Amino acid sequence: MGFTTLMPLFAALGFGVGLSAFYTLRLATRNPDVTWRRSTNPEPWEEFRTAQYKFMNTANHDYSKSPAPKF
Amino acid sequence: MLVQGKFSRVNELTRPNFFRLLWSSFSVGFADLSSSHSHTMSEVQQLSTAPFDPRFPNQNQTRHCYSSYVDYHRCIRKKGEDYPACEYFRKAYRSLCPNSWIEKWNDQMEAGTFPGKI
Repeated sequence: MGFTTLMPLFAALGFGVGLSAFYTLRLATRNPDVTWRRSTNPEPWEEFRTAQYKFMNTANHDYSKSPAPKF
Repeated sequence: MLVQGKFSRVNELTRPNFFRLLWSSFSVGFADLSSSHSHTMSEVQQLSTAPFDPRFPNQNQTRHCYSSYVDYHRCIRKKGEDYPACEYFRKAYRSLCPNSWIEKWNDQMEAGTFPGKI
């Protein structure tokens, strides 16, 4: 069973599958709309009231103040 | 030939040039805009929409719309109709939500069948 000639295929496939898996897991854990236990975390987007979701703050937005008032 | 030439010159004097006609029509239009309609040009309505909310950073703003609607009614129920903070939520859901959804939810609220927790 010589798979040596197939190694480039496995490398490319592994990279693709790895990237997809990484992104899916990132979405599952970091997305503001996803909650794993609705009983303990009913509104998961509230964690982002003062947090930044994007990678880089290119618009110089002030994340310490939220526009939605609390009542 | 001479008579025709003389008449053609007179016509040229009296018949307006095409480009002069065009320019005069434009200048009449500008005069209208500047003199009598200046108040409508300067009174541009201040339009605004819901500001960026970091809780809903992505393109899909459905949850932003629904949260604003629910928060508005919770605010009304808790603080009364004229509380100024509730106005923020009202403007947000009016800007973000499709009008058919707003009508449907308003009908459900009146009938008491709205599924959200208010």
